[in-house]
Amino acid sequence: MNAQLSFEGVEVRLGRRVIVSGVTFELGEGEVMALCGPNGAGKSTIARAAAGLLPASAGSIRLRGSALRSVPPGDRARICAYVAQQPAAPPGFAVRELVALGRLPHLGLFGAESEKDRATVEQAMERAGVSSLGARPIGELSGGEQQRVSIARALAQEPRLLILDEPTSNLDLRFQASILGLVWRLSRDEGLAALVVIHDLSLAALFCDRLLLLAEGRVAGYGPPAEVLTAPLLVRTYGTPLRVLPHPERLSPVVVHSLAGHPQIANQGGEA
Amino acid sequence: MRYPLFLRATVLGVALLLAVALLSAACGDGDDREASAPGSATAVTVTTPSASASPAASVVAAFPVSVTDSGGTTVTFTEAPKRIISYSPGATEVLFAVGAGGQVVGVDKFSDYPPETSTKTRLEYSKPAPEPALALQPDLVIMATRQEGQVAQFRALGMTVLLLKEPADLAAVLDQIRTLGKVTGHAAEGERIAATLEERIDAVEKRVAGVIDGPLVFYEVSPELHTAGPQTFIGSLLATAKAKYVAQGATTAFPQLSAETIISSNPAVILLADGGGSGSQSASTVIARPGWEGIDAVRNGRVHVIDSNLFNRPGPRVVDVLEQLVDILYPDLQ
Amino acid sequence: MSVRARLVFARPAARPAAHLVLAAGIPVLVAAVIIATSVGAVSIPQTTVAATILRHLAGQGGAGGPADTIVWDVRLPRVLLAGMVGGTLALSGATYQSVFRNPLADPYLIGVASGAGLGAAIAIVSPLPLDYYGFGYVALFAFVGALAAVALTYELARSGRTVPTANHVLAGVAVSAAATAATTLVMMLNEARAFVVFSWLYGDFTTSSWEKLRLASPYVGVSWVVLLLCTHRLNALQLGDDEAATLGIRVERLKIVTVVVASLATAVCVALSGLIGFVGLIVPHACRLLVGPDNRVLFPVTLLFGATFLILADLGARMVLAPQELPVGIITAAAGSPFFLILLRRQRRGLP
Repeated sequence: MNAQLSFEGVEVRLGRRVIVSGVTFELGEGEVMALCGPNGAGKSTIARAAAGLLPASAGSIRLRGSALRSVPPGDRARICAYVAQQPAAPPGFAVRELVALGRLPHLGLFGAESEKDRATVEQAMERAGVSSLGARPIGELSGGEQQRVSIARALAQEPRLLILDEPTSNLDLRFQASILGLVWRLSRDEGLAALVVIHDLSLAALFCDRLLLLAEGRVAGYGPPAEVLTAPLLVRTYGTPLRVLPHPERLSPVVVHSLAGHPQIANQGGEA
Repeated sequence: MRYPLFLRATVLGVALLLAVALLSAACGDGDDREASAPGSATAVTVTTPSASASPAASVVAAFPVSVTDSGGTTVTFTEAPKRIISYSPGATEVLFAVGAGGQVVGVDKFSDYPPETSTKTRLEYSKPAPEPALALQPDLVIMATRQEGQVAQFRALGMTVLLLKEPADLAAVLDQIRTLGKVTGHAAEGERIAATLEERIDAVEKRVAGVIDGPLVFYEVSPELHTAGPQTFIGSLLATAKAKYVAQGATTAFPQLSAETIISSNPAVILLADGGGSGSQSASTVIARPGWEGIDAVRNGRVHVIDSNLFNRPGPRVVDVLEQLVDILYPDLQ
Repeated sequence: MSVRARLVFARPAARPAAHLVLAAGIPVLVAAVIIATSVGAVSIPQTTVAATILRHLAGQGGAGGPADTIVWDVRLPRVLLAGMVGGTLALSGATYQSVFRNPLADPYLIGVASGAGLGAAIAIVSPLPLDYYGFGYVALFAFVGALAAVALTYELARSGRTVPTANHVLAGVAVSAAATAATTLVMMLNEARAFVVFSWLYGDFTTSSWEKLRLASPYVGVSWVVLLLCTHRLNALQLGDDEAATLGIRVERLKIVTVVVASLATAVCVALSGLIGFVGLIVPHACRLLVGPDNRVLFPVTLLFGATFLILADLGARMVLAPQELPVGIITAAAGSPFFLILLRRQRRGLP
């Protein structure tokens, strides 16, 4: 199995402050890894470091076997696509134009687009569910729609590795399912490797192969979701009462809030 | 904060530029001052061929005439120019005075004397466009200090240009009259006018010969209390009239003084160049200024409005100005 | 479908018209050149103008006479220089607006104008010979001053190896203020030449010449080519520095190259023709409202329209009060503002 992305003992600093340290994982072809943890744990930092936006102050980050630092930006952009937490919405641009920017790493010197480029853009838009919005100015769209446009742009890059930072935070249930389902399908059908930062643990468990739980900059758990998402670990990590239940359809953990810490609510609702 | 080399170099460069600025301020008016040194070799020199050998034939061959202008360029005329453009009001007056008015085809918009100038084509004064000048097909273009930056341009477009900067003292005015007289083929008339003016200047100098302590004069150029420094033409006139003036030690051409300086120096005469046709000041407005009532000039009613156009234009009428000045300053002298 | 929605859908879909605008730009520019060369303070018949130009182009030299000199040595270089400067200022403005992600950026934002003004002022008041015709000392000092100001602004805004945009703008404001104050000081200490400095600062094309064109073309030409090649990467920059980096762009290098190149060309233009405002701000903005934000179309359109605009503005400056010439900056402001306001109102009506 080819490791598309590997972190080994990675430490990332912001100025002099250490954000994450001792991070080790491997992401292979066709694998989806979820990156979870409380606020401020350092998930976005790892995502940005994986995208080449932050240097590792210790340890090594490898992209397809080569040190990430040594991969030229153009090559890196053809392999790896990154979608930030906040979708970019530069005023005046239409949706299709923004998605088309994803083809930049593949274009020649003069930036001229070919038929293939246009077809790839259309396909990316369809997969992300934004085909009907093609002519609309980005400023008019809702946050969720803008998020999907950013995802479409990432898909237009035809990456081998996709890094998504909280792609579902603004999406409704339908689009949560469709985007993560898309990522899952692409990983299975086309060998896409994906690193997805996500808050919803249950959702993560459904769509990922492995889950990395991060707490205060260190790895708290790493492995298949069923192994990592255990109540004691989660309660310790998140500092709030939680319960883990089995999913009705699959062997996948579902994490729910426990009322143990909220006696008033417990007395209100009906008993199970 | 570290101070990388780049920053240090840039700061040094900026400091250098500022130093140049300050230095230039100190000697920036240098070229004006040179030209104003009385009696010095003026910037313009003229050579004419010597008279023919036989003393009986007293006709002097008028041409060719060579002129070296204020910029150091020598221009030779083989015959009198017939289509002259003048961008200098002072030079225009001289041209008409020596009788070359008929040879002038274009003047700048400030050349308003003598009245015949109104019949000539009007041109711009500041940054004149070459097009209208070319259309007049001139064989001589006279430029002054304001148009200095375009002398090269006009020459490159095929016109003959003489850069004659405004004279800074009386001697230079007389030179310019003689020069333009020779260039336009009116050497005799030019000489006559210059000689007459010289006589009148001598008369004035005799009049004030006995003066040991001239009156202190404040020459007001603007209501914001700008005055004329010694390097200006006005300064040289005041010096000839043996007046002392408040701005005597100034290094710049038109320094601005404070009211305190003027009040404390207590001038005997105040000349207003910002009154009459050139502004709104007058004896009554000066009296009304707080603190000025105590000044000798105000108390003795010696606040005079003068025609600033006349005072500022170094041309043939300049001696009228000088005589007027002496009348104002020394009402008792003959 | 509501009227509003129809307007909204129409605009981006009308973008294919952008290519029409681009195609129309060239004949419009050529027409402006022809008109501007044919009209002037001195009236010369059209046929003579055309004949003169053709004769020179055919290599037969001039026919002599004032008309020939006026058309070939005075008007034509002036019109071409106005076009070159207008195109450069507009293109630089569009570049800065992209790099700084700020539609109010203009080519004078990071110190070019004030630095050039200070340099020119120093040259004018110094004992150095005063010659506007070729690339004399005034132009040289203006050029050096502009570059020094840009370098100083950059150095002040830099933190480590990156230049945060907001800092860059603030540093530009600070440097500009300082340079302007220094210029005023220089003028006050040298009143004899103060008016000369003042009139240089206005900007005008009175002393245009073939020599100036020859001197400026290499810098300006290189700048145009480089900027036109960077258009798509500048598009990506609109997504943000991070996103652009993940699209494979070397963000800092792109910013430095484009800003330096645009500043260099702007400095050359300012050195030759003084400070002309509005072109670098209004023209790219107006073009963006017409053809959209895709720089691949916007930059060429801006270049063409900037050139045309300034040629026509200079024509106005020459003709409005003929034979007196107005400073061309007044015309650009007077013409630019209302046109821009009209465009803005039309734009606003099309959006919710």
